Amino acid sequence: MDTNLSDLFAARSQMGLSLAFHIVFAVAGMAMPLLMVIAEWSWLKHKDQEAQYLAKKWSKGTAILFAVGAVSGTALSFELGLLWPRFMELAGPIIGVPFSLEGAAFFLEAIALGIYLYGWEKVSPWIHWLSGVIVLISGTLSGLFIVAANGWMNTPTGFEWVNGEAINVDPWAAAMNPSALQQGVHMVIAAFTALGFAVAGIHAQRLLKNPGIAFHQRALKIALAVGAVAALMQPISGDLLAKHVARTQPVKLAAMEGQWETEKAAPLRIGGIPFEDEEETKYSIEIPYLLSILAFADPQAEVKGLKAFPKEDRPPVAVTHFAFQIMVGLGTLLMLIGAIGLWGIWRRHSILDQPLFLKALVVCSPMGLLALEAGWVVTEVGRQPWIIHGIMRTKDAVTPLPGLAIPFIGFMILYFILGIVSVTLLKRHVFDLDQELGLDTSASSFKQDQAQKEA
Amino acid sequence: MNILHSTETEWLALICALVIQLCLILYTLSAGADFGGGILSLFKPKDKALQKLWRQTIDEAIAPIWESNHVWLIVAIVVLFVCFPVGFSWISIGLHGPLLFLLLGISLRGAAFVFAHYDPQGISKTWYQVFMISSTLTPISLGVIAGAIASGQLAEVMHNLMIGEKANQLNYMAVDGSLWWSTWWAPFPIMVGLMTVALFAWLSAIYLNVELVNKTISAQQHNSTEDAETLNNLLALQKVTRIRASFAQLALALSAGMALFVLDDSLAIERLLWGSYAPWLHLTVGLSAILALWTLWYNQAHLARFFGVMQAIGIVSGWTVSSLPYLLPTHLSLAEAAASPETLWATLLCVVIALTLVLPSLWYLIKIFKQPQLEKTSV
Repeated sequence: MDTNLSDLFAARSQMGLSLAFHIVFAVAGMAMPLLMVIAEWSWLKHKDQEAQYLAKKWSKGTAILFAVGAVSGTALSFELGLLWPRFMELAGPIIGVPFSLEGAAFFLEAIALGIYLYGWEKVSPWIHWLSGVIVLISGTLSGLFIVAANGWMNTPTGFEWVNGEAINVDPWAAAMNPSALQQGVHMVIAAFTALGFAVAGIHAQRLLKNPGIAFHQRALKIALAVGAVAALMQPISGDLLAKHVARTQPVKLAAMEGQWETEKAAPLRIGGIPFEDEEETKYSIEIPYLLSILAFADPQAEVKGLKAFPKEDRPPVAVTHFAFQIMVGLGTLLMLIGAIGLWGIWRRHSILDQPLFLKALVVCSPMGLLALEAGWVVTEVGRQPWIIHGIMRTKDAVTPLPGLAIPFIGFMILYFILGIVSVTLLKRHVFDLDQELGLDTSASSFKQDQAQKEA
Repeated sequence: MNILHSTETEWLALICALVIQLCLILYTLSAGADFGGGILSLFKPKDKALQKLWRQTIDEAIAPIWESNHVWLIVAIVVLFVCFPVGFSWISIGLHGPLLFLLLGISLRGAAFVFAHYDPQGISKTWYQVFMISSTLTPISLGVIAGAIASGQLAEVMHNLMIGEKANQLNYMAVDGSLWWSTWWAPFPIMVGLMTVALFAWLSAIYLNVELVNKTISAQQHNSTEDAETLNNLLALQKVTRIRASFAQLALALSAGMALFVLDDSLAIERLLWGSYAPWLHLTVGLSAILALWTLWYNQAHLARFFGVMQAIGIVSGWTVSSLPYLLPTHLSLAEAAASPETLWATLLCVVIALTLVLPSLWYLIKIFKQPQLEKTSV
């Protein structure tokens, strides 16, 4: 029994690690194209060489991220079966549609990206730009499809559950499960937020080193605008999703909020530590009525507490609660910084050059990605102990093969190396870029920058 | 299997299996050749100037399209787990070890290729070596997986784990650590692994030969004095490629023969040689192999590529077709493993949608990056 438990733990760790790793690169493959397409549009419209140069530089970074995303995604499609064969046996035929369509969308994305990355001299400028748009659309669609499959694990539909078997399977109904679009939209917005801020932070850091470089200012504006607009849209999607979870997975909502008692006019808790033995959340700031309002749009609505569910059906409360708090906290922070940034861009205000604001952007650089990872912890840990909500438990889905610690350690080492090398190479690209900016005198703005630096 | 007298599930399952087979063929012809490029990089020519050109030609052939080539494997896996969930489950549980090795290889190889080429400080030697070595080791695991399925070893082990008559009810209590290797550790799957390495190297070499012939022709058209050296190098490299290709072909034939020789299961041998339509495919493979070598040495690069491709299609199809009506011979038939007709129909519709979008774009991608080839046909 002990070995079984440790194998289950190893399998869950490996799956969590692989997803957490892949998501960072998948997000880049999804959102970088938007930044590149905006920059290239500016080149095509205004014959602005610098914007093309920016698009090219961004596309080089994207090539690295996309490749690592592609191979880790391939690994994931196999790991689903390697680690959870029983889950796949049941779920595969039911959620095949979004999986198949995801394959198609990813295929298109890879093809269009091939044209985009290597075709600068081979196709006409507008075709090139169009291929960037196709990367953007198919990347986003592929994200939506894969999240739809995840949504099915939260709200399984499209079949009848009779004596432990799925009958009357309707793959289309499963694909359009109630969580699919809600979660998908939330994820897409999160991806643009996370990547926009990540890129803005990198350019802000370069601007702190070499103030006033027009190239970095422009890059920062595009990335920040994308991140900020997305960050400001996220609360709407988040609110809809929270109301959806309140209806479909009340125990997950209770864990997210650290709500133990079933009560009317439930308060919203900010911070706090849930104690699972004492069944109580302590040290939180409580805002009366707010949870009932957020969950059901009614201050008197009844919110189900964790105690209403048997212990074996509750998710790990502390992890879910903390992850949720981190996600919302970071999201709010990005929203505020983003609002300031958007205002600065709109009014052409000098705040965008202020070291303090640039430093804030550098600090925020990883925050969007952290919020996104935290959000996935909420979804996945909050669904436990189920792998398919109400249908199959995670422990019943794991492979019977012993010794799963070995592949887990293997993947840990592999992803550690891939992560370190990707970051190192991206860093080199940024430094290399600055060197080029210092040397390149072909465009007039570069000359000015250089003169400024020398002065 | 007579398609006229089959039930809806049976013929739908057969079509879905053909989709998987098509994906595996396309994966072999595209990504397989990319792996082959990495293998061939290991066998570089002695001359320094040739070495550079050799690597450059290989890299140019791989760079823009390796990620798209790779998706055929993902599509095959998705169609497998959606349409044949029990089969996917048996493969995942039983071949965990080789699959893991495959994943490590695929990840390292793809990442290493990009790392080597996107380092602003120049091509990284270490990562290029990782790329070459993982290109060689990864096909072995692919072949081991194919071999363990083809010989029936996997299905035999998994069948013994079944509790009753249903393929999806396995006795998990009976599983122990030996399942890590008992499904594939035998001479036959390992020989098929080596055979896969030879096949990929062969495909890559006959593609490279075409690239080199095209390069030579455009160098001849320029016909300036600076190009004289390049032209000589190109001609020398063509010869190098043909020698490599011939060795790969020889290795392929030897490992295929050895694989059958080491297989001590007369029923499996009979099935592989005479099962279903397999004899016709073996005949195709044999003829194309000879014609490919012949045309290769008689300066017909394009014909050689055509026959080489036919040979590869024959080999992959021979493996899948000889197993019919089984998905995993000889204990899990296609119909037994298949999902409900609703699922199969939905998947086929998705596949049709996917192919209508993907095939034209793929054709466009290849047209852009392999343009000299298309021009060449008119020369």
